[in-house]
Amino acid sequence: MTYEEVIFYVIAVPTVVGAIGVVTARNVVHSALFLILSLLSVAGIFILLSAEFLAIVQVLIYGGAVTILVLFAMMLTRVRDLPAALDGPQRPFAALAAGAFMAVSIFSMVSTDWPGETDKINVISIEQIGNDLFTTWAVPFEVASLVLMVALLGAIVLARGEEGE
Amino acid sequence: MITELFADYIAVLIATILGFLLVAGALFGNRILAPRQPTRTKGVTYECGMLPIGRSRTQVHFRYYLFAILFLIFDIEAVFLFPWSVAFVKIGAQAFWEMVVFILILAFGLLYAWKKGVLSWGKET
Amino acid sequence: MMRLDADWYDFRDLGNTVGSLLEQIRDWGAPDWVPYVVSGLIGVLAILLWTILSVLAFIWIERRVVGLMQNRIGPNRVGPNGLLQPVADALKLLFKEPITTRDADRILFWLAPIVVFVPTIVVFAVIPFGERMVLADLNVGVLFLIAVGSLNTIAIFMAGWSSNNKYALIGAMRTIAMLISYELIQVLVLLAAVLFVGSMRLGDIVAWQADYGVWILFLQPLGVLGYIVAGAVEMNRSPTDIAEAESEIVAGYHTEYGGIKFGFFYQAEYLAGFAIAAVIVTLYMGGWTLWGLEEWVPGWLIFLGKLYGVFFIYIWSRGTLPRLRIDQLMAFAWKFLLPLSLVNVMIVGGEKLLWQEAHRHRRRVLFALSYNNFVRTRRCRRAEPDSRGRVPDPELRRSGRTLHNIIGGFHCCHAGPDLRGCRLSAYSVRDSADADRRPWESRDVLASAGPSAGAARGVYAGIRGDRH
Repeated sequence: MTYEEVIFYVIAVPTVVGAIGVVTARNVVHSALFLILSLLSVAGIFILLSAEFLAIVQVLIYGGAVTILVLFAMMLTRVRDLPAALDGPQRPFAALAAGAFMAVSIFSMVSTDWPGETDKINVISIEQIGNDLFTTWAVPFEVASLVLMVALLGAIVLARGEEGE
Repeated sequence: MITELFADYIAVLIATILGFLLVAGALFGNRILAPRQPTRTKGVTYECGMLPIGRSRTQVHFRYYLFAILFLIFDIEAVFLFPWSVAFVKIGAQAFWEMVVFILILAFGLLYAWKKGVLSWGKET
Repeated sequence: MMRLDADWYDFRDLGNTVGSLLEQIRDWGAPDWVPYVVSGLIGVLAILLWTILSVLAFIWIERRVVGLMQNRIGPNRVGPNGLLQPVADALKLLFKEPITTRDADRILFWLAPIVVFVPTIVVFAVIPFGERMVLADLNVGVLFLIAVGSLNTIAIFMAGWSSNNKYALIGAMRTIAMLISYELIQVLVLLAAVLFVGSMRLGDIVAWQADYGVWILFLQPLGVLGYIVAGAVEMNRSPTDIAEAESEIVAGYHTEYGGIKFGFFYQAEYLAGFAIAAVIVTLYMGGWTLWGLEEWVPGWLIFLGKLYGVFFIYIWSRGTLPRLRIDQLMAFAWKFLLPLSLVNVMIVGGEKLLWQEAHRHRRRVLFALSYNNFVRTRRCRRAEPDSRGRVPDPELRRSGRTLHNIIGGFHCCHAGPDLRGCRLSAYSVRDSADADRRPWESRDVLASAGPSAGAARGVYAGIRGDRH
């Protein structure tokens, strides 16, 4: 076993443990914290693949921002102390949806032709990302800002409605 | 073969592990060194010296959630700005104006939030 | 580069010593990962040792200095001049009984001090203490600093939630809300600094400042002011220690923590402070260089000197300014600093383009831009009106005695609906003509800290209610 593999398993174990923890924990806050563990470990895998910028963005956006959003959303609800609230009549549908998603992921993983067995890793510098983003992908980039703004407006409108009740 | 890039992160990994060991060691040392005489009253949650009233995990106000959403959106914006900051000189003025448009669109969102009073913590006066 | 091939005993840059050691190891034919691990271990152990010693020293310095500022003595019993007081405190914390309340979530309660402490150590791995004294000079250094710095919100949530205490939960929620708001400001002002250099690697940023012989501080006065304010929030110190608003929510998210676990929260706050100071020094003040002096004096001494100097500003502001309320702080972040830093990014981007055009006169253009930015910053300070549209009291600004004028920006008038038309003034007991006029007897309000807390500090700096 090469040490890349050792490091990969060192990082992969918390990723998987976190992912399993998310669905098995009886307490929603524990689930959320397991999710953070899983997301941060994925950042480690990105670094192993020399995708530095992606790893940092993973920590910054998923580790720092999205999880805070999730935790704050949980603090808004009343159900977090009741494990029973995690179960419900929708269970079979959830199982179906999750199973279908898993099938699609496995299928796409198996059917994709992965360029494996290479010794060289193409390190893409952040300058290159910036270059591509602002020349080739300039229009999608501007659209992204519109999407973000619509998300912002939507959140505000929904929240205002909620508060008015 | 260890790539240059990954070599840098080995130090980060070591810092994480050693930091963890330091704190865990101190907590363990505390366990050994310190006296332990748990009593009933010591285990009561602090609430100004009174017995706690009601459940502790209260609901919080909606505005926390709104600020989290605002933060998320502007954080994503900032992440887009970083590749721009190191690359835009080579591309020139075109990239500069692209970013100005990007910022202005989001600034409009901020303005909307402001006008709707989302940015105010307390009640509007 | 004379110093790169220096001998191992060249103490001007301790990286040389480690470098020669690593070559030794390589010569012995060890596998190629061994030098990396050895250098990492040496570096991290050195950083741990340095942080622990610095924190112990600065606990003493801070208590003595704030004592002097507040006309009292401070710790002076344990050891000469009370020097051993922090050591005694640390030992006391280690020997205290660990108490976990009955309803607490034990695992998270135990995990939170670890999670809060580890990122503060990791941050120092990317800080260049000297030319070769950087553990990991990452390509994305600046982003790494921000990303790792943002992880403390998770620890704070864990602490606040697992304590099963109302104060702890509310304190955690407030602290997180505040931290995320100011993190945004941090990102944007650091971005403006990165813009000029065109690289996120901290080593490049230091080298750029050394090459042009100008600190980014002079190019981006607005950025550095914003960062100082955001840093004060990040390290959770007065005047922005919402988490510990003892008159409202006891000790915030660490209300239920005691003994060594509390000690780690305390130390993490200090380390966050050092990290902020280190970022200010590296990005805005030329890092370990000082206009050629680094050839003669060890770079790490210059770096540490600057770092402690910047940290002292925070101690100073703690001794001078009253605590702000959460609504004031949030409004200041979102309604003033955020729009300002967005505009700042755009203006600096334009300036960078201009600068790039001016091939031959780069240095001169740099001066022009720096002048322009200074004027702009001054205008921002001056144009910052109270909510009735009036500019702040010119007399107060001219007096120049308080840090208020230096840090610039802790104006409450944007924020508090209750405090419309008020302004923040700060004066020490000794200086003040009406020293025995207690603020709470007049119409003055003390920001968030109750009267007792204000009196205990001996500084009452209040938000004066007089609607001039």
